[in-house]
Amino acid sequence: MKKLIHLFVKNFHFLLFIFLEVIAFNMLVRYNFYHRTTYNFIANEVAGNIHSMTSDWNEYLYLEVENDMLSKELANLNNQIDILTNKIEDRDIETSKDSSFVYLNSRVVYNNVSSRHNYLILNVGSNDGVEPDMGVVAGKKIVGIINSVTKNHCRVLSLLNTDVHISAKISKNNYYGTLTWEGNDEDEAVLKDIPIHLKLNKGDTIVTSGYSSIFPDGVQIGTIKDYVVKDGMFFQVKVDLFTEFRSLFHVQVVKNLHSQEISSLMEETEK
Amino acid sequence: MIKYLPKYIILFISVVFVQIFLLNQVQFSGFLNPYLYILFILLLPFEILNSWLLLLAFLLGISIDLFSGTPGMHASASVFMAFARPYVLKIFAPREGYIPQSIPTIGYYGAKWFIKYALTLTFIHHAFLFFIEIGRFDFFFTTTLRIILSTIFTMILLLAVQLLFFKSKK
Repeated sequence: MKKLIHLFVKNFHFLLFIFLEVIAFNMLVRYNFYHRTTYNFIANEVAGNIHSMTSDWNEYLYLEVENDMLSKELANLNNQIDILTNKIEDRDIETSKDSSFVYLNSRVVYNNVSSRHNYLILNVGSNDGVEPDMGVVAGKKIVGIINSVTKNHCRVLSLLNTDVHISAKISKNNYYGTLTWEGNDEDEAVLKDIPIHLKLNKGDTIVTSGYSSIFPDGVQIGTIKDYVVKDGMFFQVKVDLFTEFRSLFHVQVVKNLHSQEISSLMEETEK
Repeated sequence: MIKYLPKYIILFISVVFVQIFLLNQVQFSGFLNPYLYILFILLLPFEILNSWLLLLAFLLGISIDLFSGTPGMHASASVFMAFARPYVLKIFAPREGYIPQSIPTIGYYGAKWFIKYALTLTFIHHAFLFFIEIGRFDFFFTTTLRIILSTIFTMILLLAVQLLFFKSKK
């Protein structure tokens, strides 16, 4: 300590010199525009170099996180490509195949697959022209039927709902039956009323029949997984469903422009 | 020492006045900027404490800065020069040393000694000042030329003042 004080006293004038110069330079930089800009310029250069060095270093440290983010982003983009491809395909359906159907894009805001009466909620409603008993598809794959509509939302009974019956057919020979979900396996539905004389193969495609006004002809449902004879007259066909009900996000509401005409015709016949 | 105090106060005020109201007003040329005020630092007694030297130089520089709108510029140069003064004095010390109670003037030590002593310190001061003023080394040769020309000009003024006002010190 004594030595330190001695050193301080001995070099006092040098320390004073440094001190006074610091004050002078401080004033110089603070009050002179030219010197301030020069100082800022130099300071920015130095600080910039240091910052770029540290950011280089940080980049290495955060590579892993960055990779994670990128792969997520990639998955996201792939999904979007899928969605867009589906949309393009939809447009093909819309324009070329069946011009009486119009597709309305919407987003799933609620989705459930765990109960026996599963339903979804979409962000479109009566304001968008949505009505009950319209079909809902995801791309070319079936999703469900609209059950109730409010102003901006609608409720969709998904195919995974034991109350839903859909008119479906075997794509290769156009024989149709009724498709229902048994309430057990979210990948599997049952097609009934297929005549026993038909030759079925595992892997045959099941599509909508187009006999109801809800879905256009040929919306993909699934493939034949297995079939058994029931009651001696009909096949009971187990169908492996195409639609991934857990991951639905963008879906399309199917509007049939002629549904009123069709239903009025039906009513007339019933009378 | 104390007998010099009024004289130094007068000297301080007069160099500041001459610098501000005369030399700073006259536009000689971009290359000729005489700074006569350093005469005060040059003429301070040998025995003065280094710390006092620095403080007085700072005060002088700040006074000049205050009136020429360049806070810190002359102060830093003056302090630097004051810091260098003891070392310069050591280098140019006569063989028998400095006479006690004397001050560094032509009257005591002759014109040759004074030119050596004053030229060195003036150059140090001007070099520091001009490089601080320009703030960078981009215009090295132009700045060097300004330093040399201004140093010569200041030196001439220093000698003239010495010969006019400090004739009979011995």
